[in-house]
Amino acid sequence: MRLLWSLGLIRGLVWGIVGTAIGIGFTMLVRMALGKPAWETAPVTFVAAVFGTLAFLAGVGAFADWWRWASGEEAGDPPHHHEGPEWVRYFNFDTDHKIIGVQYTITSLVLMFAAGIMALIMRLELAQSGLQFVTPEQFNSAMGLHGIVMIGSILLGVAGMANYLLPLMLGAPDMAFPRLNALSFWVAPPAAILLFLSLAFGGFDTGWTGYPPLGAVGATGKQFFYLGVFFLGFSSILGAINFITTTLKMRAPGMSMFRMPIFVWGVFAAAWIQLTGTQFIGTSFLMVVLERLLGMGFFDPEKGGDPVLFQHIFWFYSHPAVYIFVLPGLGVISELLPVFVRKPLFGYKWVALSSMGIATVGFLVWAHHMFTVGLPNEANTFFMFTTMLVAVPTGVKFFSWVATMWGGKIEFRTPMLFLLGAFVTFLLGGLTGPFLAVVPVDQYLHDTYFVVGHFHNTMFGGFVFPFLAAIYYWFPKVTGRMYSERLGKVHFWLMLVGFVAQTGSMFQTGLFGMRRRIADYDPSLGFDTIHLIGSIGGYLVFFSMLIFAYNMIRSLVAGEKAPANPWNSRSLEWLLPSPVKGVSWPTPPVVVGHPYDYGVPNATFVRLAPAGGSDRSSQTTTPAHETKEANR
Amino acid sequence: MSTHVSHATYDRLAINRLGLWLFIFSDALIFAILLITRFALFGTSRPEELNQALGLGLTVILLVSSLTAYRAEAAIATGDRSGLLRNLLLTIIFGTLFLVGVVGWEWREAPHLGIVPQEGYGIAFFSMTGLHAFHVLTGVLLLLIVFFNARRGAYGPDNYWGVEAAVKYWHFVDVVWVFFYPALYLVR
Amino acid sequence: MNTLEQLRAKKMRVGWLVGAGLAVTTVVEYYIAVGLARPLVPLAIVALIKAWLIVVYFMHIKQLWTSEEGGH
Repeated sequence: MRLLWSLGLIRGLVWGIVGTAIGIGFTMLVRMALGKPAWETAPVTFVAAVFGTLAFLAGVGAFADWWRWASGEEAGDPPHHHEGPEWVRYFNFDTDHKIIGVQYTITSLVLMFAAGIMALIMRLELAQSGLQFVTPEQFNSAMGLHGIVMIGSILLGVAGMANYLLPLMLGAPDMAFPRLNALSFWVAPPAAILLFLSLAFGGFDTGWTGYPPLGAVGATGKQFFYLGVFFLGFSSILGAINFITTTLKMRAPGMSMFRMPIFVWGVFAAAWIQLTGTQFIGTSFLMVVLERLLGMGFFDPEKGGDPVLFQHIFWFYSHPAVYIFVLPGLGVISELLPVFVRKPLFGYKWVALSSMGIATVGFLVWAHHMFTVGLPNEANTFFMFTTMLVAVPTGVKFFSWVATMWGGKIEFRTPMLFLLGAFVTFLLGGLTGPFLAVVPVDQYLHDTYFVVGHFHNTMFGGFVFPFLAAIYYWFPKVTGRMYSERLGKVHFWLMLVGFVAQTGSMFQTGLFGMRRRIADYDPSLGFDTIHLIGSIGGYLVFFSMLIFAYNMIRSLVAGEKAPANPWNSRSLEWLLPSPVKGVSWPTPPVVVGHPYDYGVPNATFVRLAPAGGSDRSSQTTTPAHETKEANR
Repeated sequence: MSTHVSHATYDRLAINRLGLWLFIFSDALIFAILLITRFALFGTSRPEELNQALGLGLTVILLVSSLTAYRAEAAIATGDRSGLLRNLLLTIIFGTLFLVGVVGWEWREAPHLGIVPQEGYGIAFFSMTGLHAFHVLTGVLLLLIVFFNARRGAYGPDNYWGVEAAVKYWHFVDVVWVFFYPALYLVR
Repeated sequence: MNTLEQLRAKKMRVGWLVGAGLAVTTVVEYYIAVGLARPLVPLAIVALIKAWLIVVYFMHIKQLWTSEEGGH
């Protein structure tokens, strides 16, 4: 019992429930005092949800240090010493970035499985024409939840990788704001709970975009959806403050911006979108909630509002949001590729700057989601050109990868396979993009499964495959054990085949006019077989993820011990013992060279500061055999 | 492995400042969105009935509070603790006055002039002043915390990040009003 | 101590000057709104000037790229 109570998660849940109850009571009292009927679902649950979330955070202990500061005590530096078993820390408010990174990643994977089950429901229904399993409303709720929970999962996955790796790669003791870091993680669990609670209040049939006027009326479940996204966004913004500040202020001596690992560049660029863009989806959803609760007609033409305004504000975040997902993912690709090819990353500076380029151009393309809204032709043309422009910095990355691989000795281990999978799917996604960017073609393809196929290919190529590659690659770093290479390869091939089959069916049905967001289709369209193939593919992807989960859990318990540097990487994090204990870099290393000089004779990246005669001090990061390899 | 780390190699103050500025920049965008919404929905039109004297009065109060907030920070930066307390208190009073003026006066009066939160210009007016008032409220609470900490002697000329942060946040709230006041009360 | 007091006097002088600037611009702003038929652009310019005064002199945005001023 005492052990249970020592888990922040349990405390948070109990406090959260109590807080929700207090919120309900408080709202009902206020309403009675104002002479209104005590119960009305929407306002009461809204206040209760906010109270519950804050109580959850208080229960976890997120506010403890700030409360101490406010009441005049010294809060001091976050503690680095902990009592009790190590695993308890993963369920508590902990300021160590390595703990937080793992917390983020596990939460991300849990959400990914939950959202995957939603996708399975949809694929099951679509496998055959006619309605077999769900009502159209349930189908739409499953679709909306699949979308938004996946987005949440990806945001958390990005934050997980960034949190774990940034201080290790930059040679910093921890993130710039450890307490804020822990807070931004702990906002996510109640946000996810709110998203799923929407199912208990009638779901939301708007899809993840939540467009008004449909979003402004109907079931209270939509309100939970808006609120959940709002809190997720809050978490994302706080995380971005940490990433940017850590990158700018806490690099090891000698590590100039252009000596940073390329993954850090991806996170840095994405963090700027998180910091600035997220406010737009947050505010647009806040406005819809105000319209729902207080009748403020932001998007109601009868009251002087404008529903198209919502789409502008919404997409101003939600388009760049895909670059939040993709930029760190592409960063992982550029980070791992040189390790497995044993060659320097081609055009490092261009790859680094292309991340910033994508982040910048990404803010100029939002209205390509609105080609069928009826904007002026001038606007549509402008957004068509800016959208095409995205292909330039993305192309820079792609050609850099090709040139990096050119003439290299590729080691086909599991992370490398996932990189190749990322190339295939990202290329498919990239090649279908320009069709959708062209206004007249998009008028036809808008809202068809072609768009769904394009989107999922960019997401799998830009995030899911690299994310899985990253998990395999850094699994030995995090756990000190190796995963099963054989299961990893099975996972990869099943996933690639299943995914290509699934999105292939999407492209084909979409081209022939299959609308998205619809539970049923006319059997006379002849889509049954193609949809069945797509559904089988979808189930294969899920099945491969089960293999992945089994591999991870089994290897965590019984995997063989990992060597100190299983990939012969030159990067900073592999100079530390696995798993890293205590403060990541108590004394920062000194960076004297370039991170990706694989195979370059006598190249040194880092010199460890002579800290009390530690035996690591004499190491350099170039493995001995490597210096003999001539670089072509 | 040592369990203690000294952050001495890192410029903690510079890190804090950058973080705060990033937060302010991000927060400012919410107000920018509402400002855009106001012009997108209603152009430069505004109802003639708005209480101009009240609007101007509120603006003056908030600008003066920014001056006192600046003086509070300048006082502690040069070791004047009583000046810090005096100016913090003035800032808190002005901030509270502003809140009373907006929520207690303007919000009561406007519906009688035909400006209601549900439709027309009132949508912009109430959402903008409301969100701003919420920030003023948090700013006043923050200044109160700093005030009580200052009374305990928590700050000195070498150590006043708490004051600096609260004051910067307060100035930010003021800057928002610098744009909101003409957008809500003056444009035509 | 003497230098601290000089510094304080200087800071207070800057404060009064900026305060005066804000007062003047507010008056200008009000008369622009009363006097002009289409005051949008002039109002925006005046608002930017006011914001610049506060951000530069009250919020010390320069601290972000210079470490000399106001290090404590």
